[in-house]
Amino acid sequence: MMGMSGRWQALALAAVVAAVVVVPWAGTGYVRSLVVLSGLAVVAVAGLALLVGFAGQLSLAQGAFYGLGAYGFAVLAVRFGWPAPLALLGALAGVGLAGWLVGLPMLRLRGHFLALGTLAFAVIVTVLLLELGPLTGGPSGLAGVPSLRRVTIGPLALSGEIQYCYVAWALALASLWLYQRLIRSEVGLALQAMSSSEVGTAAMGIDVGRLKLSVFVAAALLGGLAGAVYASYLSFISPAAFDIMLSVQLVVMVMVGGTATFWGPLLGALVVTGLVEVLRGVVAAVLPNVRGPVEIIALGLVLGLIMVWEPGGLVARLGQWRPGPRPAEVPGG
Amino acid sequence: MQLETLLQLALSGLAMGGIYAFIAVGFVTIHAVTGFINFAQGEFAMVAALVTASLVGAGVPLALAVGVAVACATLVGVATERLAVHPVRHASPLVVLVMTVAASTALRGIALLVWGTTPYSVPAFSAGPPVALGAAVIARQDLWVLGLTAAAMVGLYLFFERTIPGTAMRACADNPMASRLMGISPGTMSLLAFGISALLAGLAGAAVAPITLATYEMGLMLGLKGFVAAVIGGLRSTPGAVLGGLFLGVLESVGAGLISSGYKDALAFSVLLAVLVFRPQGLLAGLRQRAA
Repeated sequence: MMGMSGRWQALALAAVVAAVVVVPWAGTGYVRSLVVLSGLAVVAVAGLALLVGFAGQLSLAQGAFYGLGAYGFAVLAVRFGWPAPLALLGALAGVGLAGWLVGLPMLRLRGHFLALGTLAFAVIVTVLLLELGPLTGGPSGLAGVPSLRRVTIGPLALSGEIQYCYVAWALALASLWLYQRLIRSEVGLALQAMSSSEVGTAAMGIDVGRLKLSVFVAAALLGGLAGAVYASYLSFISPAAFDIMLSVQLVVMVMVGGTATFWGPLLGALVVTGLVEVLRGVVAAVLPNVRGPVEIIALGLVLGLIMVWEPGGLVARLGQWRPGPRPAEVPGG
Repeated sequence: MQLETLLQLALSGLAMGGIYAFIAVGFVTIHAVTGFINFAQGEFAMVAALVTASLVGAGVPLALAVGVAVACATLVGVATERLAVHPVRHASPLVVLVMTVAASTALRGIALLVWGTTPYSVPAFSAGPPVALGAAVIARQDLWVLGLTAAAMVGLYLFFERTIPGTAMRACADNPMASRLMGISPGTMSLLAFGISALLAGLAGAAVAPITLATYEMGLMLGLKGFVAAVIGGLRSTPGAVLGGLFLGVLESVGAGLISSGYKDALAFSVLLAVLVFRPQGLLAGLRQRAA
């Protein structure tokens, strides 16, 4: 879609916004839950995409930050009785601090060491969520997380679920806007330079370490924000939801969508969420006796095929498509 | 805590350490020859463990079952190299890492489809009560693991030092360009490295199944722990990887005994973080020898 004209992009964006407004009213409860969860995925994926796409840093800890946000909010609200807005701020502060502390030493690592270092952090978070029983409720989870206050706009009384649809997608669109602003800014240029040569970028007078750390913390914050809203939406959380597979799934979303424009995180989150749901349904219908997350087969295959077929993600592939003449026929197109 | 208890904990940890050593040596072998990290390493062990369990359940003699299972794991390893790594071998190591993450995820899903979520038990390689060793005791299966570890290390040493393919692999690890000029195909060497690593992981999987049960999700943790062991050993040395594995096994066992078994995994990964951050050349850098 990079190649698509501004008019088509605006149309597509309008279609997305219209769908977000209409679908929650038209759909069933199941559809509404998918709308909320995919919106939150967009938020977390936008953060991760900044890190992967522009800083060239593969993090397998985004699911852990999502979990920290969820648990931070839930623990502060349920165990300590903080009012919800304060608990949200507290959770975000905690996630930001965790991101900073983890990022500080870790970002000195390169390539696969960073990937596995962040993975180690994710495992430690999962263990802590399981073991700090008095605080987190251990394996059985934490219930009674407060939800949003119900809002009435004139004659319109929004149901709790519809309200969450709108909140999730308001956050999603805001993160995508932020994403687009950032990658088109000087910061984005510096990040791109950094992913091709750190030494070269440093030689240009850019503080590579500080830049990487800021992006890492920003990514963690977006993950934590999505997690906190998730906890409030479901009102019950357990550690199993935030294991390594969540981090892997978020990476798959980034890779599937691509990182060239804000369409990447959006498409990646929607396509993968949809795919996983469809597959769950198919598996349940065809093989009713099979238990467990069989759809991870497809997650692996899709990730593999995308990396071989189009490492730039769907956005790069769609960018070659446009109404009218093929790009090859347009000089300089 | 008494000294005997500590000794017993350390002894019990050695067997798991041997398992980690097998996986760690696989990481080192693949990394030395190709420069890649194979995230799917633990899944090869999982395949072998589950195949052993199914065959033994079907009445096949244990020795034959283990042999077939290790062969299956090796095949899966070779297939992973051809299907997931070979097509992207010229891309950045990060792309290859993501490909092996994809392969590992798909393999775990396929195993779930075939075997379900039930854990399978496998009988110990030889029956009988634990063997007394001074004040401590050691289970017979643990002795098998340690014996297999030692045998595999001798076998690997002979392979790398005394055979033509082994020498070619070392050449490829030392200088890919020069070895290519000598007529050594990097593609074949990469295939061989994955085959050997999967064979070792398969042995580990079959040997660990009687200790921990076999499940579709056992591979993830085994693979990660093997990687921790390899990093402790500096990621470039086979003896380092073995020592790293044994060290990690003992550390986990003693840590679980002193603190709580729930924190076992957190302990292993805290060690990984500490090593990566403070001593990336590995804890055993002083002992480093030539890469496998």
